[in-house]
Amino acid sequence: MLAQVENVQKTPLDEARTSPIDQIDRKASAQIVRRIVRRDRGAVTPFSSGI
Amino acid sequence: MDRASQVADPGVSPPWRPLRHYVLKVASRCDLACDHCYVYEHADQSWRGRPPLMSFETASIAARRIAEHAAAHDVAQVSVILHGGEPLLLGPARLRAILTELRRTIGAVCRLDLRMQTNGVRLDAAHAEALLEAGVRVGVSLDGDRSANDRHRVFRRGASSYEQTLRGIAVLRSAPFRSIYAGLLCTIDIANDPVAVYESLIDQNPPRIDLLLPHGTWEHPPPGLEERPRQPRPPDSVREGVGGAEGRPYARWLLAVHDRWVAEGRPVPIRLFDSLRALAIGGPGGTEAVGIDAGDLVVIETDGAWEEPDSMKTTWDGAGATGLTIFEHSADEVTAQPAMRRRRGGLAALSPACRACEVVRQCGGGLRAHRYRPGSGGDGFDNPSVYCDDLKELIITLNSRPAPPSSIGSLPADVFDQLAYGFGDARAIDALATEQLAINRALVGEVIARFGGHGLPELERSDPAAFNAAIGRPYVRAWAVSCLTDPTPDLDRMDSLSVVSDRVVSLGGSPVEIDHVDPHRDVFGFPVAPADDSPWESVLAEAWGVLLADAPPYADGLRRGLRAITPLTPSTDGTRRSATSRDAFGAIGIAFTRSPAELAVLLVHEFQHTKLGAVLDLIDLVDPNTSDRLTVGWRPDPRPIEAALQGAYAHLAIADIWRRRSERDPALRPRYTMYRDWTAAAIAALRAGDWLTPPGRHFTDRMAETVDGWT
Repeated sequence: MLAQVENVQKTPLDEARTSPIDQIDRKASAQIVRRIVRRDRGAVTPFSSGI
Repeated sequence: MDRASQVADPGVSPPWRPLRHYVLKVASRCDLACDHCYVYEHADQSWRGRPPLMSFETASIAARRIAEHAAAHDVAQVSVILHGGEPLLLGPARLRAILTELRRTIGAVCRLDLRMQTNGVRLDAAHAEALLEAGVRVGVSLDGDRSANDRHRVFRRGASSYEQTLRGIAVLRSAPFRSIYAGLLCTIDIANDPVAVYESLIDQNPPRIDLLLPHGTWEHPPPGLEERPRQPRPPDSVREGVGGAEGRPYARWLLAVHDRWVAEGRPVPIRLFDSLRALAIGGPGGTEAVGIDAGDLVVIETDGAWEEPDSMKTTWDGAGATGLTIFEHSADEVTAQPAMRRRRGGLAALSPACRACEVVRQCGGGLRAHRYRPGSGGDGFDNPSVYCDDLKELIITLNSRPAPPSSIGSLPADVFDQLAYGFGDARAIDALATEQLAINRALVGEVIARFGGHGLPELERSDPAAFNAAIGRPYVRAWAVSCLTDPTPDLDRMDSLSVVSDRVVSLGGSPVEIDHVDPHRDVFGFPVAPADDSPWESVLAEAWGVLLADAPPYADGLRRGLRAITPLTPSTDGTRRSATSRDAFGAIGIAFTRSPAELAVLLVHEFQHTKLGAVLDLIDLVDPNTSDRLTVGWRPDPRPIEAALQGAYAHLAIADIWRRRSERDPALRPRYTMYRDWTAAAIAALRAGDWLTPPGRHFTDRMAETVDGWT
């Protein structure tokens, strides 16, 4: 066998993707929510220019 | 039809292409006696009959031949690599004269990238001054730490060259000459500890590292492969292999270096690894050692002979000779030589075993010389590389290496790289969209957990595909985030998540909503426009044509990922207005414009933000704790680091569009160079600080490679 490295660990997004919407593991969804609902950086990239 | 014949038709004539890379052998002798040197120690001994040094007259004629070829074929840039033997045997005065002549003659017709490969032993301030004056980037050969280097790189009587070489490198590392330090070239010896070699090279702070497989053939295998069967095995048997990893010592050695390099955050480019990664995603190989786009490199010997690349010297005495000289023959005549035509033959010039191999587009059969086995039929090169097993294991293993770390999801490494170069095809956008859908599912799941389901779980169970289509809509995330952060969540929205705008237009055949209806579309920082009958259909149709002409690397991904345009109110001062939101993947806000050319730029610009925002959702490219700001060309106010990165990423694409436009209309070149220079300066500033994470450094290195490739 050739040496191959595979990342088989299930990520929080894997959990969100594969579980029914009302049965997503709360720990996983909390991790995602915490990362996405952050107010410490700009969410909008407005652009106004003559190009 | 078998796989090999599907891949390529050997009967197809190789394409013609001008020469761009010239190895100028300014010395045929060397002050070292390295026992692994292909010039002196391998089959070809033609050096014995050549002048020790190239004369000024020969160099002058070589320069004229190169210049006439570049001018005749409108070549924008050529590279000339001063090589040997040891090129510094010329001495500073002769070196300066030749460099001046090369600059004067070739520089008059195209851009000239001058380089030198040296053992560094004679590299002192006087030489460095001459090299700096002529803008020569210098690579030094170093095989590792003292014990590794002493194994081969010694003087004729066996004395170590290590201290002298390090002194030469120290000259290049000193402030006056740092700009001409190109990097280190290390010839692999598997007897040396790979991590110790890597660390000792890193200690010299090189801008780049090249790792070179020692030359060998099936007839004379490289060290460690002597016991390998003396003829190639069918490619499928490579997977099973013989002797496991122990049977592929070069793969094992290189992977050990790779693992340490990755663990340390890829502190400098390593050409072999970067080339294999780039080739995996359709990028440039950047070396003749791998990939199948070689064929534009030629050697000029000290006596003015045109020759094939040096690696051929490992095959037989006289190998690489073309029988042509610069005194009698032009570069055009060299390109017509059968040997040079074969080098341009691409897949068709490879053996059937190679053409049937799954990694052929990355491996390219390796160096042509490494395929040589006398008596194997034809010209002796119709074989896989003697390194076939090692190359295949290296490539397959590198391809399977995990992507940059993400705390919540994952992105395939090749997708990350493709996006990092500034692009992103439909597959890359699909990968981002897959993770964005999962993010939306997690957010909506959290809303349901907190406030109840409003029938959504039942909808998923009855029609999961329709449910995901609704959850994946662009403004669902904006709505879910507002539910989780606002004191008065809009829970009624759960009943109408699948409602779509009744105005759908086409972008290259893909549907795009003109969204005047979603209650959560007001996320762009500019007021959304009321519904009107602005002719988006016709302008977008024309804009698609513009995208195909001006922005082909971006068009496919944009068509795949753009789901909705929310019209914004126009500005009152006549400037264009557009925006994206991290909370609305697939949506762009744009104030209507009747100009397809302007709309195309706005779409590409904004979709760059969309792509990078989706990457940033998964992977921190900037240290979250930094509060530093950077001055950028496109705005008067210093920007937070992540905003500067976003701006650079968007302007990379804008510059690329104007680059293509300026190629058709030179009057537009100042506009292109303005965007290019803004982008390059921002990328340089980003890379100069310590605010990027290791994936962020990797990402910006790739961005820089794209910009560096522009003229």
